[in-house]
Amino acid sequence: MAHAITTEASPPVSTALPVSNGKLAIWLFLGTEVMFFTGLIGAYIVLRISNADTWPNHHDVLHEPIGAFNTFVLICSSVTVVLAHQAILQGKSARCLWLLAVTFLLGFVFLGVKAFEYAEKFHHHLLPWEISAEHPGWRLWSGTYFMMTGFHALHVLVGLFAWGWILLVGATVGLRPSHAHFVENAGIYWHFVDLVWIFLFPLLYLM
Amino acid sequence: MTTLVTSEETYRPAGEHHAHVDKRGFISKYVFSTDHKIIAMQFYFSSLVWLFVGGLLAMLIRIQLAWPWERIPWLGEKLFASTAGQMPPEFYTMLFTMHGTVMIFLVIIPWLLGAFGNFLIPLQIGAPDMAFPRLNMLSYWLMWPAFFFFASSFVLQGLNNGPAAGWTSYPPLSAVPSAAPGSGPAQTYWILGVTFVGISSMMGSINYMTTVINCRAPGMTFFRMPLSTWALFITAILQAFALPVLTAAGLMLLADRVIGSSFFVPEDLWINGEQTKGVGGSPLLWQHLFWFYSHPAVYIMILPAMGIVSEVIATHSRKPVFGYRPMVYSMISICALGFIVWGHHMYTSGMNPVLGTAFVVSTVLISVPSAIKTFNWLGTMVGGTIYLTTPMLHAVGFVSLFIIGGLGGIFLAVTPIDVQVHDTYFIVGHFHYVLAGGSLFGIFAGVTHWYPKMFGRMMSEFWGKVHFAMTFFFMNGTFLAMHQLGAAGMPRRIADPTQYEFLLHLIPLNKFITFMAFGMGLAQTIFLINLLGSLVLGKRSGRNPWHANSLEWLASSPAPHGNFESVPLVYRGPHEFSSPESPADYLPQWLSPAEVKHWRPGEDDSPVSNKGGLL
Repeated sequence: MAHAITTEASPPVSTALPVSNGKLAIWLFLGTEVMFFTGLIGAYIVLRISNADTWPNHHDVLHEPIGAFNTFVLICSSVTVVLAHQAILQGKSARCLWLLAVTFLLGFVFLGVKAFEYAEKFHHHLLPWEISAEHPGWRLWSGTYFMMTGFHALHVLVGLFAWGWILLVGATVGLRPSHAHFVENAGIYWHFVDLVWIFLFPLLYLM
Repeated sequence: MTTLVTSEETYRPAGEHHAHVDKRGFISKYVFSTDHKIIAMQFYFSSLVWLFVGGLLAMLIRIQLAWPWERIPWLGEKLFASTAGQMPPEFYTMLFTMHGTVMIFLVIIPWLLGAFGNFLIPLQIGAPDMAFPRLNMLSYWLMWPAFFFFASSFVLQGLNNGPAAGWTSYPPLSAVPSAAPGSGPAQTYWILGVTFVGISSMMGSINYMTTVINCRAPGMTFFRMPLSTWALFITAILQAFALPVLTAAGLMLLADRVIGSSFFVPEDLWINGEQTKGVGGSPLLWQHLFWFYSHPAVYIMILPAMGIVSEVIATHSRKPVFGYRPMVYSMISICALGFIVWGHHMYTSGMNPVLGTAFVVSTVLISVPSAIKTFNWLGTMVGGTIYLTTPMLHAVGFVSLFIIGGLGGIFLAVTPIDVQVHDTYFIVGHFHYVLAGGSLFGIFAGVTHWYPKMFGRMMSEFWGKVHFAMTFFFMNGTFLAMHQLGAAGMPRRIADPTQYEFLLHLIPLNKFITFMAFGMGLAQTIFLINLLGSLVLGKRSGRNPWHANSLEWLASSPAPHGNFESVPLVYRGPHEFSSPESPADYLPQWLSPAEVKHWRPGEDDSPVSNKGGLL
């Protein structure tokens, strides 16, 4: 026959990766998320380049210091996640809990600052449906800005729900070592959300 | 049934469920089920319903094209009272939009990936369930909002106010509500429907990938996986990494419609004598983003069918798949190339000729792995002991129609030819050969081949063959003639092409196609009756009615909750037919070399389920 037949004397062994299902899935999920944000950021780049002459200067629409502060807040929250994961691995569940509480708080601060920025845009009528067609670049900017930061903020919100849930568990029944997986996987997600912002911040506030 | 005994050192259970006696009630067993086989059936039957919805839409399209503007007896009076039984052009626009949408997003993709993906992957790799059973359930139930939104876009605004922009939804038609008067809310529902399908498929794909990578039974190495699982795995990769781009694009289109952003609406756009409020957006951007997903979607719709067909041809020819590894590598290269060919849908949209040439080259390159697969299917059959069962007939039908569709694809890949026939019925004929001839025959092959495993009964061979013969005949009659229409210059997506005098002579051919299409539709009722009737009347099947080798045939028919009595061990590849080592013409993957010596072939084929483990 065309096929050589392979037989084994020893019994077959496991074929799985040395990674848990959850961790593998979260990495694959983040791959799909990369493509999602690539679509949004790609559209921003294309529209900005093709409307370069009317595009607003970033000074006129956004405050660098506010964006920089928010970037700092998110980076800090990523650090506290790493420390919280380390703490739960060492069995220090109390330390893990307060570090996660800080993470939650920092995420909350980020969203608060974002809400303040959005309110300013509403106040100055920098909204897609309010900017007149005489300022094409401004209207496109407004659409892309709300799209990218809006979906980023939505991802932060999902992260907050994850941290809120684990804090609730910790506060009521207490953390177990098995929750380390949850902290790690949610942490990987949280780092990704942080990373997206690291792209959005220079694209929107600095360039 | 016995409790699953797992040894943690060698095997990690895939899901939270083990094989155990099923004590769940009806709701948790059949409605909110986490069992991959039940979820597969949910996808299976909802796709079946939508197949007939989509088919009826196609029949209505054919009526208008064969008898343009003629009063439709009975049905016309019921539907189009205001136009005295004539089909209004807005209705026709809605028809072809929803026909494409339904067939792609609600029939072929969910049937191949949702139904076969869910059913086959855990069974063929020897896992008790998917890696994430609850995520799996969620991925099915997120199809319901999509069903709801697509159905709303048909009816909520009245039949003449459906989405009008085609399944490709090109802006500005889709982005500016005034461009297609009346279709306002319907087009928005359409976008929401696509978004929900996207989220559902993303969850499904991640689940499939994780399951294949991490939940294979001991001994089930990647290169011992059946080709259908390989195909589903590669398709899941394609889907997971291409679909989010469409989701992002759809959300931008939604923003254009709802909050007045201008991603896809250019400046100075005049519609019906009125200037729109668009500013500097790019309609071409939508085309790029859309086809970045929707070209891979073509492979999402054909790769699982290819996998199914490889499996069916090997089993029913009693021969190993010719070139198993080249089959896998060619699927991987189709997947990789599939990401860089989307521009060939846009040759007439305005494109730098250099870029066009690049897309010609990448597109033509895909014909290499496709040809490898085709020759390997033929090579598998050569010298085999071919049993012309219903699944085998459908598989051979797939190969022959895929060759015709594929050859048409090479024509269309080349810019000078595509510019001539773009947006004509040549295109329509081509992609129906691949999607109806290819994917649908792949689905039929899969349905008939795995029916005994899914439902524990055999389908009627006689009616299966009648269904095949009629479908094959009428399908060629319908779609081959469409190539001729296209070559004669008949454009697609126009309610009445004969408004152009040079197309008047095509009316007889259009009538012919319509009769052929009616025949094809009629044939599907045979399929439906056979499928549903065999649930009750079919002969009970044993575990392994086709004498196949892969692990799903180790489980009893229908496979119980948890699939296997004990963790299967895998000793060889999936297609060891007519092996000299075996006393029969098949050699199952799960038999150890020692067991083969005193194995009585066929003992696993008795139609008594639950007779105890073979191991």
